[in-house]
Amino acid sequence: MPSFVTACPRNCYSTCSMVVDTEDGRIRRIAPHPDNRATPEGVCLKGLSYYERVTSPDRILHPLRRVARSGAFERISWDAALDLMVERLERIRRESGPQSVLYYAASGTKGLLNGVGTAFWRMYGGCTTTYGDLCWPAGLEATRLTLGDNKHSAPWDLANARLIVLWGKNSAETNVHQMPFVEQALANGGRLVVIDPRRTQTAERADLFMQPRPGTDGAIALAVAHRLIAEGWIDRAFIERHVVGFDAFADRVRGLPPERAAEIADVPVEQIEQLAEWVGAAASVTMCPGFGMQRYTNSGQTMRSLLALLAITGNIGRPGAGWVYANLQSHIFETVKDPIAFFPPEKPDGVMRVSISTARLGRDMLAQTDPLLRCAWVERGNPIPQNPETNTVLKAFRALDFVVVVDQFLTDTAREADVVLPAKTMFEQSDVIGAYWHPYLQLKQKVLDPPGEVKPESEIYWLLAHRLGLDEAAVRRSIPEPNDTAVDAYLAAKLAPFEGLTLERLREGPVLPPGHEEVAFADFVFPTPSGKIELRSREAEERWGVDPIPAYAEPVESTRRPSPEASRFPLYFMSPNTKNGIHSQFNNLAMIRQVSPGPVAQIHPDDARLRGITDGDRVRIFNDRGMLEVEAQLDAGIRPGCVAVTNGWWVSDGGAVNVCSLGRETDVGYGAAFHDNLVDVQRAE
Amino acid sequence: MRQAFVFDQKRCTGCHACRLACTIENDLPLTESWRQVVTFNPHHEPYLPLFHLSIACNHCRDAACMHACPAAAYSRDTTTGAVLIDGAKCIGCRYCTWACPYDAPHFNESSGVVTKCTFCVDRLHDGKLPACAAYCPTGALAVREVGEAELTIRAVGLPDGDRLSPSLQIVPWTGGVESSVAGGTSTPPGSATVPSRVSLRSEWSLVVFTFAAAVLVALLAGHVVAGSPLSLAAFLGSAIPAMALSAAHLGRKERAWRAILGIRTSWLSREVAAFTAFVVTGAVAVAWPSAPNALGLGAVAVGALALFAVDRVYGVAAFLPGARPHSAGALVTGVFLAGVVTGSIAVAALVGALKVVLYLRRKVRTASAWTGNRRILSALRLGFGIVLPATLWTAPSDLWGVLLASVLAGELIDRCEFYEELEIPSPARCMAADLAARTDARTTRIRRAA
Repeated sequence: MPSFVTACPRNCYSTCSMVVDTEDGRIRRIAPHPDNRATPEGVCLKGLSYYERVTSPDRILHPLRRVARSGAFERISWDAALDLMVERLERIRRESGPQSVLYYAASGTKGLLNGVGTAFWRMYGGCTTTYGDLCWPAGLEATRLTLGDNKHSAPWDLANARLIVLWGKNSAETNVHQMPFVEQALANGGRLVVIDPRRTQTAERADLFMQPRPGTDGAIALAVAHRLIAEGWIDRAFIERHVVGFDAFADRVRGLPPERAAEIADVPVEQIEQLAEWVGAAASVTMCPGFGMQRYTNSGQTMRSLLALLAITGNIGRPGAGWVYANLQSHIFETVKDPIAFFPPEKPDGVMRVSISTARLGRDMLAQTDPLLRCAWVERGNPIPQNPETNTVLKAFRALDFVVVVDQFLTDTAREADVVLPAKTMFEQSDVIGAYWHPYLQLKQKVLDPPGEVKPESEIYWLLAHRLGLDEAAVRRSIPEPNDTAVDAYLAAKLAPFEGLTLERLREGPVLPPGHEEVAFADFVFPTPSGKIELRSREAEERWGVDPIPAYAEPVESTRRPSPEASRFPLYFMSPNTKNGIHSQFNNLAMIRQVSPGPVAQIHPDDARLRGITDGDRVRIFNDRGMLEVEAQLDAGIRPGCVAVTNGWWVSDGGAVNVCSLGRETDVGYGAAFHDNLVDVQRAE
Repeated sequence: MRQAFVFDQKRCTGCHACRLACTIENDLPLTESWRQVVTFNPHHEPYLPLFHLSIACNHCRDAACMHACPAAAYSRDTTTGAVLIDGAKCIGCRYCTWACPYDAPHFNESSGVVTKCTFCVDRLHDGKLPACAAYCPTGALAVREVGEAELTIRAVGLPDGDRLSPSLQIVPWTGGVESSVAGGTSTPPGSATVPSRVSLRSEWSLVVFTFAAAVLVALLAGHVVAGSPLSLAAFLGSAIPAMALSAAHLGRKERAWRAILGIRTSWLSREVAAFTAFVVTGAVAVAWPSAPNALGLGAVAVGALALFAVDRVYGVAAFLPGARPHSAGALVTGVFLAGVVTGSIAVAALVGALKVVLYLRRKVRTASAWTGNRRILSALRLGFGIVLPATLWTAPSDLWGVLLASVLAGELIDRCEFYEELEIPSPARCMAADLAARTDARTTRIRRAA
């Protein structure tokens, strides 16, 4: 049975290295690769479920065309699909210009070949694209403003921490491979603090577990800083050498004592004091903030407040100490790194119109003029359930003349397409991927031929470019010819500038990037304007219009803001991630459905009783933006006043959480503030 | 020292990768697995921890499945100690799925036989770990050499398992987070319900067989001792269909003959053997009026042995509190009916009284769960089974048929209750019961304090 080294390219912390066995054109076995020090023990259940995904009977194996009006799809040949697309794309370009086409690519698969799409649309004459990102920009930008770069120590360094703060991060579900390092730290006598409105699997291991009101984490952080400074539990030498803005920051937090934050966040003041005492006393503190916490309207400032705790206690640049948010050390191929890469260009080039905020996808699509949007091409994404304001996104897609979606399954977005093209799985074309938690570069190796009539995106673009009669030399420069040798050559050329980085080496296993820092910032070089850690950031003020010193403000949607909405919709709607899926991927598989059969709403028994809801009832979650109907699961571990449905369920499952969210940006970074989301719940009759 | 599963409850996040790894390694249907993950406190009861138990076959030294198997389908791999079932020998009686407290053997409807965890013997022979342990992302599940003294198997979710000497070491986690969890004032959010694996509906053929066995033994006793009429046609005409019915639930009926191969250890084999011997000797005794009385008495004794074996077969099941010994046990029912059939007032009254005591004891112990229908059923059971026959005892003999029918109706109700109420212990049931007990204890404590 042949064995291949490969790696999982999902938008996931772990980005596991794998050794897969194949047999009769299918994946027979998926084992971990021991050389990846971050994921040596085993891939998660999603990784194992590729066993099903590759050969799922629901997979799209040939091009489909929607039959006008009926909504059903019929199988068409590649020739017919290409002819149809060429005819439409040429007509739309002729009548309205190339920028009436939206090219929307999301985070479904990592890889260097993803760049082929942008290259193609440039050659087409340009198009409209998005800026910002759904996932993590507020935190990235807060980190960039404060530390100058997004990198962190190797995952295994967490074992050296004496205090770990998993702040809004549910590692046990979303980064399960971090848990063995947490366990090592605990076995070494370290402590664990978990801060989350939900009693998560991770919280079970906590020495201190706080359940704040959603969106108030910044207030807690500033109060902890208040206490640290008041008690002198800070590292003055470190501050003098490496921090700017400390005095102004100290002034700021003087106004936010623990009692005040306890009132804001609705947690016992003793917990805030305990956290301060532990942060102040621990020999090394590693803080791991989650992504969900930075999807509120006040998130940039929240993340800057959290960072300040590490800065004033000197918990940066040492083993066991640091800020584990995003480790972009393997992102060596990008000339412009995230989050800058998410920003719209300061000087538009006239070819690519970067005019749609990912956070406001539906609204901005509808708002485009000169030219109006007439066409969308979607790949690696399922924006209808996953972007804020699902109903508006749906309306925007339905307003278009022509939609092409490339996907493996008939997702909510694919169902809106005029043409659906069958997408490859990770096993059907080689690519090189980085990661954002561990530092490794990896080869996602081709181990199977694509089944049916599946073609990788690069081949689709190649064929389309030729039919459109685009300049042959330009096409050859930017799109690999549709065969494995050409793909390998494309990848080898990308690797060429880096010493020791070859496809041969990557075929053996994961490789650390050139210049890898095991302990990040150990040189205390902070590429900020001042060259120091910036608690006071002029760029924060100039670029984003926020207070240059971290400050706390209530999220826009808050039960404490006096507004008619707040009284009508008294519950915080949380839409966290789950171990059972990556966004809208995996939950359609039988292997996953046996663990998680359908969407459920976690609701506290006190909130349920008020509404006459018992365990297992069908309930409606709603606000003025939309409504979803799911099964209630009474959960005494969720903070009263919150209701949670994991995100990723499709509209067709009845569980698309973003029907209730609003397209709105975070305070910094062009992120999506879809966690500002008040709703009410009632029993479905 | 032996190879054993070592499960660290602290490290397990309940991710289910072990379950999927098993499915893949063994090429099982996508949603089937020989390993399961059971979660304690899924609704996050305040003040109680949440943890998981990943469990499959523990390849016990004293394997209950192997002892229970009537068809000698189980064997042990000598080098690894793995307990294996041979699908070509299994008759699909499912008795091992009752006997194993870890819920390890699974009946496969499509193949008609039981399958179970093989300890991945082929992988072990190749020097690799079983797939579930090899692919656990957190290192919570391992397989390694463990000394006999370290095999600790006292953990929530493990029902009375240590007597079997399982190859399992559990590092238990009792939790630390409970005291800081909000929402302690709330009422329990809901109980974790575990669907019953045995019901009257699923086991009706066994109700008919075991009840018929008791009746036949009693009728033969009446015939032999008191000379009550019993024709060969009636005897065999009930015994043979009853036996056929008991074979009807087998997954592989064509292998029914294997059911006596496990006689050395299996009460099910002994039941089959003894009942067969009873039918043969009983038929001879009935067909041969001049046979020595000893033959008839011997047949009755063998029948009593068969009824004893029936009761022992159900020794692996769990009963309601106060239900053991059970008022509808096969042997006690056989003796009671024999007393009625032979007209022995001493036997009938004594055993009848015992049955009433046992019945009432069970009902009193479970009174809180009584519903209206259950009360009516209990009244019918005692009314038909005891009160009416007692009042008819001295009535004219032409009402004897009514008396017997009334007794049988009462007894049948009790035997149906026996099946409806019995349960097969499993980690999931055990965990749910433990959770309910702890929640109830806390509720009671709070109520007392208030």
